[in-house]
Amino acid sequence: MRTFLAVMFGKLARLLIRLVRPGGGSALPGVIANKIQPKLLANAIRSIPGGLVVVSGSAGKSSTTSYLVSLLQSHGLRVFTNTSTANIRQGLVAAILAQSDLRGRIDFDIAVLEWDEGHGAVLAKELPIKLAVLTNVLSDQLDRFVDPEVVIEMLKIIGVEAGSVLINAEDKNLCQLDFGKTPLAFGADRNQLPPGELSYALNFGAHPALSHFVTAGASSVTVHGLGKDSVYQTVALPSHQAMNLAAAVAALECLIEVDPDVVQSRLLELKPVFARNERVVVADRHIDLRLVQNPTSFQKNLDELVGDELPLMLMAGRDIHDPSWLWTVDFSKLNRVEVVGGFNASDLALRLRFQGVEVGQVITEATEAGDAFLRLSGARPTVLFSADAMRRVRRHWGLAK
Amino acid sequence: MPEHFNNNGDQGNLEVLRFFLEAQGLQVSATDDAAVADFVLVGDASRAAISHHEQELTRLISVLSSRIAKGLPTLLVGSSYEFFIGKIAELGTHARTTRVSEFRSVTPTAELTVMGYRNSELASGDVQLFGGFIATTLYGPILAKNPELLDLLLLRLGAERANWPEDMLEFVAKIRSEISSD
Repeated sequence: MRTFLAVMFGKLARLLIRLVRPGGGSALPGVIANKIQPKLLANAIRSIPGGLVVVSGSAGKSSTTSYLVSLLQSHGLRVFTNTSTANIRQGLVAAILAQSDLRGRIDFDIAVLEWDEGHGAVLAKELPIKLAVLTNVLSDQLDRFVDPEVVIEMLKIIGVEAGSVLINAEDKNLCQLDFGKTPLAFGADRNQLPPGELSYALNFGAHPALSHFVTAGASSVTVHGLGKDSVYQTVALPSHQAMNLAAAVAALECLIEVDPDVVQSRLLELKPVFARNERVVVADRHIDLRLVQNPTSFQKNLDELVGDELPLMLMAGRDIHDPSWLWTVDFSKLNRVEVVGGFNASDLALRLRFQGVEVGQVITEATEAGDAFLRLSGARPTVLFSADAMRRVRRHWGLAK
Repeated sequence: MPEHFNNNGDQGNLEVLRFFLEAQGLQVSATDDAAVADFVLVGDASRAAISHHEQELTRLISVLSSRIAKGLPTLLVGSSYEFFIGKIAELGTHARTTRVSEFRSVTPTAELTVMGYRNSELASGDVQLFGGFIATTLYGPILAKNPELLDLLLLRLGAERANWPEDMLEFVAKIRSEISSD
């Protein structure tokens, strides 16, 4: 009865919110349902025969999850996952609500969930994890996590609780951890992905060498088998995305008997997760969207700009609780930013001006910034935005899913 | 090594000082010798960095004590500040309590309100002033967001008060207004 009420009220809330705000409001129904039946998530997950795979870490969670889901689906599996970035408890419950019957049952072969590292450490003690994929540790969200050591501890809990753990062999923060079992690992071809492009949270300790069975190249992923390597061609990807893809392929190898032809075919079709280096059409114009979530991803995306991006909009939304970290990003390659937007627009604009970057309009309201941006002319409209600004602008532009 | 003490953009304070000093025609160069520097910054760092550089930080105790005594322009921030509490007597002793992570306005003197973000277990001592020596839990680019504090340092450095471009001062006013209403 409790589950029925939880699902009913949760679905009702979801319906009402989506009527008012299409594409939005994924968390509140989850909060309501979880309050009524705290076991809703666990019961649903336990009913999935293929078990639970979780992807966690500072960065790359969404991409890795998306790639893995796509690869599993290409093999005919029905995969339960948390679309969008609903990676904390209420988001996960909301994902259950979206796809369950009124008894809270979901009909899937396997679950692949992206987990926020903080919430994941708690969830790991409640849910049976078949495989944990740990991407990396960055110096990120320090206002929330205080120090990378805290993140490392949380990821360790997830790995310890999991049946198997798959880690990034290039990140010594992860390699140093004792999970109580030998971790599986994916790594990088250092000739193709230079070490400078794969930087993680500061760590002065030794880097235990882990033999990895999947290696990321600039446009390939190699699975090292017994006496024979399988080399898959991929689209050319930045180093961090190549690592995400390698993580997904490695996880796939851990989970099922793969069909190499199917894998090869799907790898060439894979598109980046929404808003990460994505090109969309708005008002008959192609616009490049780039999600920046922390100093590392902001810097990487800036480094990838070639200089012909016009108009250029940078947005820092409410998700950046303390915008101090914007000062660890080097914006000096930019000459001018046409629009600076989002809740923390003034902080971002001040940072830009101290680096000698010209700033056009500064607009705190994300939707107004989006409108102002669309009014500007230019051959290559480009937006770099944080997650909150991304959600607001995408919804405003009719891109919400 | 300075890059290890830039957890939250504290090194940006050097950019701010350089910006206004050079605007006044003063030349600025960097040195790693704290004993001869006109201005010293020890920024917030990760636990790993504090541990790794513990000996170097310990060697700074006498220099920093001397700078406090003379009121020389210095900025000691976040975890580095906390490292020296208990090692430099003038910084006092401060009880530890539940960690508070929030924007905060602090009034170290009747004429000065300093705004910034802190994430600390210290129960007191958010901003301590010893002439031009500033020890604070407020990390990030506080000189960019606190023009009066910046002027205090500029004057101590023998320069003039900052001459802010109008648009930048507007950004600062908005940021301070948001922190005040937080």
